[in-house]
Amino acid sequence: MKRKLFIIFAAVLAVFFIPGSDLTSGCTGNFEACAAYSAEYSDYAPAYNEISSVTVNLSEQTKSTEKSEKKKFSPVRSLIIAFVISAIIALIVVFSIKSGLKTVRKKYEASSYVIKDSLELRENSDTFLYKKVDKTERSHS
Amino acid sequence: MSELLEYKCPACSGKLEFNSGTQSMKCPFCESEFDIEAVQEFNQAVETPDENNMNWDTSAGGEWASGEAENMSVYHCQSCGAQIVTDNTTAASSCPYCDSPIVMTGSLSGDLKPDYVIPFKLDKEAAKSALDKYIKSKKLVPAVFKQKNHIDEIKGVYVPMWLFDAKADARIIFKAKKEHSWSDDDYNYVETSYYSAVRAGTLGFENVPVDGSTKMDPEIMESIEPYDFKDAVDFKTAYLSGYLADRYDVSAEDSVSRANERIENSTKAIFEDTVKGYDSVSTEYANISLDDGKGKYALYPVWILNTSWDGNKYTFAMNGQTGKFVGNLPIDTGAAIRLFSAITAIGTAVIFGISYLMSR
Repeated sequence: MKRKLFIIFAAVLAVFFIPGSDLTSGCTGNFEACAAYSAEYSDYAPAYNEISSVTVNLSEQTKSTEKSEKKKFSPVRSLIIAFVISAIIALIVVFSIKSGLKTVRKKYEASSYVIKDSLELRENSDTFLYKKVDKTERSHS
Repeated sequence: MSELLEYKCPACSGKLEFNSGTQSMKCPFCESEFDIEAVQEFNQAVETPDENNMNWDTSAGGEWASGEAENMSVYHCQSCGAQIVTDNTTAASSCPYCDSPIVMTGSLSGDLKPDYVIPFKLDKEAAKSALDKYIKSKKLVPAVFKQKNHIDEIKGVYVPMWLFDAKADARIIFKAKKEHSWSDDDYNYVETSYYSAVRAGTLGFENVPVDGSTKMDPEIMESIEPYDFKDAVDFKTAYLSGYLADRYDVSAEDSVSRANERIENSTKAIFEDTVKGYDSVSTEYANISLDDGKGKYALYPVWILNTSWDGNKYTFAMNGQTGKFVGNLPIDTGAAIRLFSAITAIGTAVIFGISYLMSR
């Protein structure tokens, strides 16, 4: 739509501003010169009227297209999505509160009862065993 | 007769063969190649896995001095079977575990005398305040738990504990990995290097506690740990005045398996922490034995409150020395549903409103 408008506008400008054309001289100065100018170019009036009516039609078309695009917003779909997101957030909140109510837990280690600085290593060795290279083909999209 | 030597593949445990072309050991199953020395070290370490040797001296506790046991009274709960001990000056009327009435049955003679006791550092008011604060900090709790008159029933109990000292001697082999990735125009590459990390040494443990009473949930006792043994004193009956003590009914021999489990897990974790510089580490083999394993019998202070709701029993416990408070609380289902509905309704309105405004 916008491209059509631009082409028409450019055409109108081109009609008025083609280099060397007497159209660019316009009318300056006295009344008689303006009258003679108008008489000479009065044949262009129908063309101007047609350009004007085409432009008006095109702008009305553009407005109606924008209105139909706005109508694509679906309240039902938006409501369902909003409900699902809110329900997930609510579930996360309630379950995190529920997990905070349980504080009794079995201990698997006795790290609090290690005698400080009692660790003595008599053997500390790292030995390289082997190496493996896996390659996967890259997808070229 | 010559002995046939076989070496296991560290990658897939298949039988390795010497590859004369590369002068290294090669696995015919997974095609991995290894340096000879590395294979020998690895196989030597995992050749004959030893059984963990965890022996304890469990001759804990002492004998009552003349006249000492006569100052103690033993009460029996006919509802849950608990045997509660206190001194003759303290009147015990209800069981700290199930709140039922208890009756005096006799004296303590014949029982083991505790070696140590950690006296109560926090009084009943501190316990009630901690409980009140604990419950108020939790959301969606049924209102019955906040009733002040019930909180008054909190009781101070000395729980019998077996304390274990040991020196763990461990030899652990870890499998460690380092990964390096790169790409070119056609492929993504991941190079994984495998290492065998051997750690052997000793680690000392002291006063590892194990609950000596079947009436006290061991998970609750473990949850209110740790206790600081620096405050422990030699046991005297005077410490029981005003408090109740539970009689042990789990022997030291029956408690060692729990101590073994915790010591073993801690030893593995601490040794694994010494294997650094790798992307992942896993235990391949572990052998842990205990030297100088010894048990002691002690009484640890706990503030206990039992309550019932909706047919279930709930126990709250506070460490009588440090004030750490634990207890599983039920959820008020009605309140949870109301909260869920409120968040969903408000969230739906806000998100819908935002999406509508953005579409204009």
